Amino acid sequence: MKGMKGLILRILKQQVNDKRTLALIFIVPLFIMTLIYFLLGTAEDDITVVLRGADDAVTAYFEEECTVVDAAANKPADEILANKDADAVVNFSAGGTKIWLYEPDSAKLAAINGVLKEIQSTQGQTPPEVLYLYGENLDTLFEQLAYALLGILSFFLVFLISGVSFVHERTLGTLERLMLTPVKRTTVIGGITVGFGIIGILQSLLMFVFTVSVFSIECRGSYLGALLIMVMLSLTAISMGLFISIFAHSEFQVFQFIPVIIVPQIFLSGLFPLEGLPLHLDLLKYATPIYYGCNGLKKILIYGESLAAVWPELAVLAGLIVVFFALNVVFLKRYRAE
Amino acid sequence: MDIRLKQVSKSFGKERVLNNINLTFPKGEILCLIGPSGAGKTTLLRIITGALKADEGEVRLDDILLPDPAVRRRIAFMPQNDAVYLDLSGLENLLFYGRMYRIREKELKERIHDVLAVTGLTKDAKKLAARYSGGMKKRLSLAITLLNDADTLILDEPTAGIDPLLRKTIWEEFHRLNAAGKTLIVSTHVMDEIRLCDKAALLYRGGIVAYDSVPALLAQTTDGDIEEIFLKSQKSETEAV
Repeated sequence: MKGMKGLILRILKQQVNDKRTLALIFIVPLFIMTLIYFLLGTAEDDITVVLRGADDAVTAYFEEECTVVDAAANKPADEILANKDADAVVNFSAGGTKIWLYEPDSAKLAAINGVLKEIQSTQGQTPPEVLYLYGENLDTLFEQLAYALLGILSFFLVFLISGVSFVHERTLGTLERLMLTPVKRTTVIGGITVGFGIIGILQSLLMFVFTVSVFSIECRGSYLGALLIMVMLSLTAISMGLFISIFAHSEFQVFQFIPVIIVPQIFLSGLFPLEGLPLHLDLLKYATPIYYGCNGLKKILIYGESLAAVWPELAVLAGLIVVFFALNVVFLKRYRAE
Repeated sequence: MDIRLKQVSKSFGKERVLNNINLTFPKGEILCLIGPSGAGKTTLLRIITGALKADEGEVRLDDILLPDPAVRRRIAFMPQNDAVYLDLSGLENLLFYGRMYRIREKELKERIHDVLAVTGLTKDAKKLAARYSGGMKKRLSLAITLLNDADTLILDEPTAGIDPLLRKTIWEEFHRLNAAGKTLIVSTHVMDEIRLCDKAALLYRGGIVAYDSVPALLAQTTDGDIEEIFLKSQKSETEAV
């Protein structure tokens, strides 16, 4: 019993002494749960709807929950959605209710269904048919989310490999030894980035070909564009992994960064609609590389866009690579007096 | 190629690790930096190699103020931990560092052949370093240090944690290198190793307690035990407090 008491006390003492682990155990889960609550637990509360064939009573129900906008009677629903004149078009007819959405979006659908439920209870409407401008034939959740999974995986694995490897290089002493050779700091970071980059490129190629050919995920737009996005995302992950590893003293501490660096990025990647987030927290997505990767992949895989359409995403990722590259080069000063 | 340290001081945070170090290491000798753990030996060596910058003072190699990228090739460093890539073979480790030193491929192959022979690793060169014993890793680390054919070798506790037989072999190799004209600066906490050097600097709590030729230092002791000098220094420090 004494032995067990000793072990229990040792474990508790170690955790108390390791502030980073304490924060990971007690603060990070609360942050993640809060993020998930806002992402999944709240219905979209400010959506714009075009109503067709709705009587005054139905319109009044919608006006309570949504912004009802006008559109020319002969303007097709597809055009309204494509022009972003409204988030949804709801058509009421004797044949039943139809909802058109831009793409599968659980928050917007939940908001409209919420109103329809109220109407149903008073007027006995039948369940609506839901149609999408994009993603109409994405029957399974995997088909809907394949783009996001490709982006997240391109980032996550190389981030871990590069981060752990760089910490390993430091703790083994090989980095210091390397820095005592005449090699330039830019060469060191460039070599490591390109070395892991080659692995990242092969991984992206394999993942993309596997997903498209084995799981029959349709790529409606530029194959080259999709691959470029994945490659740039993995290069960003490498540079960021190297940078984050600066703050880790062991491989274990690199893993501690996953809930802080990776998990929030996954939630902001586009896997979940972000419009319901309060305090404009959805703007955080612009600070996360995975968002740009996933958004670019979505444009190509789901919307069928060309390479030219994803230049903003490619430009941001290229910018992030340059910024982290520069930070990593500066950091290496620590290993060589100059 | 003399190395001169003038009023070198270094702190990490609030802790003063080196305090006003003045030393001259003459060319072509084996110089021993001896002191207990935490005395500041590694910090001093890292400042000489250019891995660290002194907060105060200067280090010169002849007349060149260090650190200087141009003389980086002339100083080789063997760190205290092995600093070898465990997932590469011994040969791959040597090839990598040789390329980092920008040694031409043909010359590099010759150099690798020589350093493997010197360190007794020729037979095991293609084995992964992860499969090497502790002593073999140490020898591989020494082989990397020798690869660049530098004039000055700075060796941080090269014999720490290795068996007496290998220690003897390594010291024999140091003497061979010295006979070939190399300057060696060797740190150690094994007091007996002082007898294997030409000169020794005794480092204690970041300061130089004594620096002289080994016979002169041993003459300061009653029975040839160098620890006596450290104990005297500790005693006088206590009395001063």
